[in-house]
Amino acid sequence: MLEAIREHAQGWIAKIILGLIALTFAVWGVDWYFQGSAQGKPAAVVNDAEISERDFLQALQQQQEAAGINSSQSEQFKDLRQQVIEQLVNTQLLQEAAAGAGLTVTNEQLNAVLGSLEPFQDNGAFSEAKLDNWLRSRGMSRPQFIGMLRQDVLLRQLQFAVGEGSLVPAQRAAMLGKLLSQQREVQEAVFDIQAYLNTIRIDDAAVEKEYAAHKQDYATSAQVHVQYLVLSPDSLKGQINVTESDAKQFYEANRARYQEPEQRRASHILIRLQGSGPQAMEKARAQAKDLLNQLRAAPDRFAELAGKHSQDPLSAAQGGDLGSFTRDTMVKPFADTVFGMKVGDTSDLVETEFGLHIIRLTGITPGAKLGFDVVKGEIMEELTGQAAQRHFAEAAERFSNLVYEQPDSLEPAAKEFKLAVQDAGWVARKPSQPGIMGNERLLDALFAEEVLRKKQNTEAIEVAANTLVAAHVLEHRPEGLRPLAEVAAEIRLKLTAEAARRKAVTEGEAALKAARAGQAPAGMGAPMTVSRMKPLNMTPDALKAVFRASVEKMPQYVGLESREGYRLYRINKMTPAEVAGDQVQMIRRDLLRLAAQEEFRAYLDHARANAKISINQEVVAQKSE
Amino acid sequence: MALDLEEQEQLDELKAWWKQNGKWIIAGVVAFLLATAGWRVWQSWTVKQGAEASALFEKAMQAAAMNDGKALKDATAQLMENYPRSGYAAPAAWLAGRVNHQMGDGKSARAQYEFALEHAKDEGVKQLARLRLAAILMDAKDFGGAMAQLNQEPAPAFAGLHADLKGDVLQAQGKTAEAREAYKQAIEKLGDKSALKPLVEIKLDGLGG
Repeated sequence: MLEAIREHAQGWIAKIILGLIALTFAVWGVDWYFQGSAQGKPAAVVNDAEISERDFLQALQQQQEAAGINSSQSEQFKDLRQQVIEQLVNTQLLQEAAAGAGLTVTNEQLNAVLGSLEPFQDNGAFSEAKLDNWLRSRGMSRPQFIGMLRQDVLLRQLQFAVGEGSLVPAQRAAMLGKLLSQQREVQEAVFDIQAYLNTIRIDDAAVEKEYAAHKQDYATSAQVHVQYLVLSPDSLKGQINVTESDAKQFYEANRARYQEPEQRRASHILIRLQGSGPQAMEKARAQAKDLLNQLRAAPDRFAELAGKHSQDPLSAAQGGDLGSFTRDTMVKPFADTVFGMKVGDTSDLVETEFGLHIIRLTGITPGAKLGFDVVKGEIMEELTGQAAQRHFAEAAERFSNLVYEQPDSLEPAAKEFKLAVQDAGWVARKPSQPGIMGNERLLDALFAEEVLRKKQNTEAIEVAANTLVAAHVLEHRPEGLRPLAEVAAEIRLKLTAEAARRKAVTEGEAALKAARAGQAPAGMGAPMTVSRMKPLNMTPDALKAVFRASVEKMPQYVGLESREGYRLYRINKMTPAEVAGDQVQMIRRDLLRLAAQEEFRAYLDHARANAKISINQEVVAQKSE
Repeated sequence: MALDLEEQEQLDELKAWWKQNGKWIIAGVVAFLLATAGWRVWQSWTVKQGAEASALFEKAMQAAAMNDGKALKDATAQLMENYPRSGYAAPAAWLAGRVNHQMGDGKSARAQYEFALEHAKDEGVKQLARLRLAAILMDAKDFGGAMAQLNQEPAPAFAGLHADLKGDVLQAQGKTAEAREAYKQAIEKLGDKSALKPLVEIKLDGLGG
């Protein structure tokens, strides 16, 4: 129960803050501020102040974005429109209440607030430039902003002034604490509808009577019984015959795709060229030449020379080693050289955009080949898909012609393309239904004259990319009543359930009466101890009934209708709980918050009751489009 | 000549009239000027008072937020003493009173809540002041005093809160039947949106419904 109070409290905090708008002030998002009357009809008039349509729409847009409502047709959005105007009216009421209560905000106070706002701070001091920037980015004038700020400060003062004086007498908290933690031991008997279902016999007359009495419940919109064909690459796949030799051929032709690329490992010495003048460039070339000569004379000094002279610091530290790489990861001249060398060879000077390289190939890891067996399935799948796609492209036109030229049946087309005629059952004209039958073009076609009355095929309709559907109406049922024969079972079920419920309740009530007269009821469950704070699995209604019962004499019996029929409770004993001091304090804190909110709400209601408010629903309620 | 004579006569009449009435006219003009000036002075004084009170109240709000008891006491005491006719006097008294109430100083709290009732500037504040004073009195076990406040007819917007507290006081007095009636009234007046309503229902059920 405490949690329940908390939830309520938080709900209210949220609501009041929403209602107060200004509290969630401009800089952090919501800037509702009446910008003086604009042209056009006001959305609402509070005493003499007008809330313009523009203000309303602006606030609405902000709230819509904040609430993440996309559809402007939804119920949710309609509700939001009313909420927003309520909030705007509340803001105006509170502004007037603040003025009436003699609250004022001075320019000094505004300046102090302005100076303390984080977005306008620069190195810990107020920055005029930042404020200007901020205003410009929001397309807001300074007086407008100051007005918003004034409203915010004023309403904050009002909320504090009104709300901070709430208090909760200790006795109130203690009283509630005792009630919330009082324990009662109960036993439960359930009179379940399920148990009575078999005892109920509903005769045909009753069903007919119900049908006659509630005809509107069994009305339907127009429906058609639909058969259809789907032509798509997928539906054609079954007819595609890809052989293993086709796959093999494809494999051979696309070997590269099934090859892990070869990797080579090399070392290099880099002498950079760029960034130096022609003279320095000559010098670099000379140095590279000299290094190459040294290597030619003493090939095994590669690592040593790389470490000393290479201007690629990363590899130099590894004796020039670059590790293994595939051909495509290196710039072209470099890669060409590496992949044209034998292991152990040292290249001539190779020039790339990085400079001059001397390269030595140190290893080759040949690319692994993916065997045909490994990729056969994948290839066949791919070839089938491609063929089906091609087949579909060819078949589409022929399919369209066939269903058009032989309008009385889908069979010819089905036969030719080896498609199964599918049955969609009864379909109403509701575009919202899932699947193909939700397609609006298809529905329109199904309910068109020739299709509906003359039972002709629809044309082939593209319901999705690469998916053609042709449909045929078998039977048409105009809007009207569902026949009794069709709904009889349904009605019988409903009547049975109703009768079973009545029986369960009657027996439950009889058992309650008997129990109160001293005859112990059967089927009582094991005793359980519940309190309002620990209701176990009892429903709120049952809990209320159990705790409402007088405890002067034990045992007590209470009973009530429930979802499953009827529940009977026997109350064995009551244990007044000791409420710990800190628990009382907690309850008191909760109550205090609740009191502050409720009192503020009463204050607002009072202001509302004494104001002349007119809301222009022409502006506020959604115009139907 | 005749004309001159006529003019002379008129002039004499005027002089005589002025002699008789002039001082009243001067007095009237002076009085008007004084009144206008006075009004101006009074108005600017009121604005200045309001501004000063507002600044003090901001201080009190900050002090409350920082839990600075001394600053809070200073600011609220100044507001009550020096700006008793401003709209901030009653809220300041509540603020001080609530702190005293929490600290267990019921006597000061009671005086402050009484002050708030006396100095309420608008009807909404007055209604709340009465309700809160009754709560303070209940906590001080002055049930008669609390009932005296609660027996005054509340404005409709406050009727639910009023009846709820009334029920509590009556229950504390042991008047179960009357308490039950009060709770029933509270449930009716609070409205379905009220978060207090389920709690009042629990209290009512606790009295046997």
